[in-house]
Amino acid sequence: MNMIMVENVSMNFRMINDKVQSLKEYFVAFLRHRLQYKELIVLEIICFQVNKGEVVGIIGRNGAGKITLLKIISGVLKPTSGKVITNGTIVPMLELGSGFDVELSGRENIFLNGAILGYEEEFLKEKYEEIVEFSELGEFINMPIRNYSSGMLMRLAFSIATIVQPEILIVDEILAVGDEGFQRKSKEKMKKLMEKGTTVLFVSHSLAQIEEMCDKVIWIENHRIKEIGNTKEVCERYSEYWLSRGKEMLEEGKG
Amino acid sequence: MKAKSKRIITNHTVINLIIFYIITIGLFWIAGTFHTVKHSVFIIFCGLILWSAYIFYLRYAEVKEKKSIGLNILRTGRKYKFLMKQLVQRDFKTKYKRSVLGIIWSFLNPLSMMIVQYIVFSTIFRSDIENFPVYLLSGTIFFNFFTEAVSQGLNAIVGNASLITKVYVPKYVYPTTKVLSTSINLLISIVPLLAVMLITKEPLTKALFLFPFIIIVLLIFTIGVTLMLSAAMVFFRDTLFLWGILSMIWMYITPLFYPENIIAENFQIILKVNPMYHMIKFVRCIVMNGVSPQPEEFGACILSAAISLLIGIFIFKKTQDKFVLYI
Repeated sequence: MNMIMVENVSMNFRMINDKVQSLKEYFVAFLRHRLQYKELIVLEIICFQVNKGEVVGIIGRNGAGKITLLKIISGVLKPTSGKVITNGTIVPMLELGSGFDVELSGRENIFLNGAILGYEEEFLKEKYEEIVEFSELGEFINMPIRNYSSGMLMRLAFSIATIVQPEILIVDEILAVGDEGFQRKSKEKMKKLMEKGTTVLFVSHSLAQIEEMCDKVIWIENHRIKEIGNTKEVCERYSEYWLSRGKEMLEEGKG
Repeated sequence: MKAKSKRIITNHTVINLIIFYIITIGLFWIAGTFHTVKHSVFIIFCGLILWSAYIFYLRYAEVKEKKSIGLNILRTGRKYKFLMKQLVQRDFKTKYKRSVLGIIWSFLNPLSMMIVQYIVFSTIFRSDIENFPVYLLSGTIFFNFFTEAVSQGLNAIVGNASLITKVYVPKYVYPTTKVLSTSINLLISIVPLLAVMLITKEPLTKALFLFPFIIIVLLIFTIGVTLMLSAAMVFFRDTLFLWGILSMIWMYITPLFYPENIIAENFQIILKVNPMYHMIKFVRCIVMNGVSPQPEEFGACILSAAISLLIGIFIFKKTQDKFVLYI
């Protein structure tokens, strides 16, 4: 069964050359006919499908449009054309902990962040102990989180995000959270989620991680899908591509 | 995989909706809105029939999977109830965090303002308004709620940028919860109003049962204005400063600390088109006259709230897809 269907998705950003942010500037620019827009193509005719239980990696250079694609799938951005159909609950893990309020305690933040991620109240109450335990925060949980270290924050955020068994999980390089011990634990947790049939979209720059976890890889280059298919093959060609590109770029630099 | 479809209109919901009707009508009845017995029986009876017909229509629409506004409201209301509760709690908890007096400020603020204005207007400028403290307080509490909620809500979209660009939540949730969390303050500051009424020996009448009605109407009006301005704020940050000036002008053209009859005959139109004037007139009618206002006053309040909400929703819906690109 198709969990995610991306059909002919294109995304253009309209960039006003000078960012006009006040009414006066807008009128001045408008009167002088200076309101020029620059169309910035971020994604062009992206088409793919993800089946239930698949773990799909997305690779590509910085600025290729990976995160934009994830944001379109999770519903934060609306594509300029094309459409995305998803079946099931989505939990996005893009920049963990962006819903935290520093003045509130860890406990209060669990409920706030859980609500933002769309969990239900009873569910959170039931799982509260488990979240605290997984985050290893112990008695710090009742302290305002402005006193937390960034590692502690990330641990808490990860524990909240992965407490559910979402049908679709959208992940942006978060496996490098916390110390070595916690990193292992979080990897185990992700693997467990995947075994239970969660569909995962996974962005990473670490090919080793991609090869370890994914069934399928999408390679985005120049705003289009360059390759899509078996993890090993795509990863190999990707690293070859960069090996040759790297040499070229070095030589260009020398010249 | 089967589509998870929980019924919205269960027997429980039907009972709740009926109870809601009974309470609403009950409050109007106690407050003496319906003038004659014959009158009231007629209204209550017709209302009940219409209301239950609507509930059954909703039930029918759900089974047949038809689109209906009422159903959508109930559905999103249920879905985002927990989130809204959490956001309101957050606003309220963080508002007075690390301040010594904490929640007492909610009492002190309106009181101190009333005292200052009372001293100014009863000694320096002479006014012949009966029971001036109550006149002042009833106006300022409600007007301040309005301006404070809008100023808070203005920033709701821009201020939550980090969330909006990462997690999908219907965007109207943010301005709406800001207004709701400010309304807690309004409820608290009604306590000093009642206290001043007791002290100045203003009789507490049954008409006070209309408070929930006017508060809800004012809330709807405020949510509408906030939706408009928070959307505008995304595109033009000047909105914040414009609102500062606009709210000041609005305060002076609303009779808060002067009697409304000092406005010349040919300027009365300014009062007539000012929704806040009608709201505050309504409040003063139930607080100071102790009677339920005339039907026209009910109409003016409901109408301005409805218009504001509709315009707000319209502007917000039109622009919300572009928010992410501008914040």
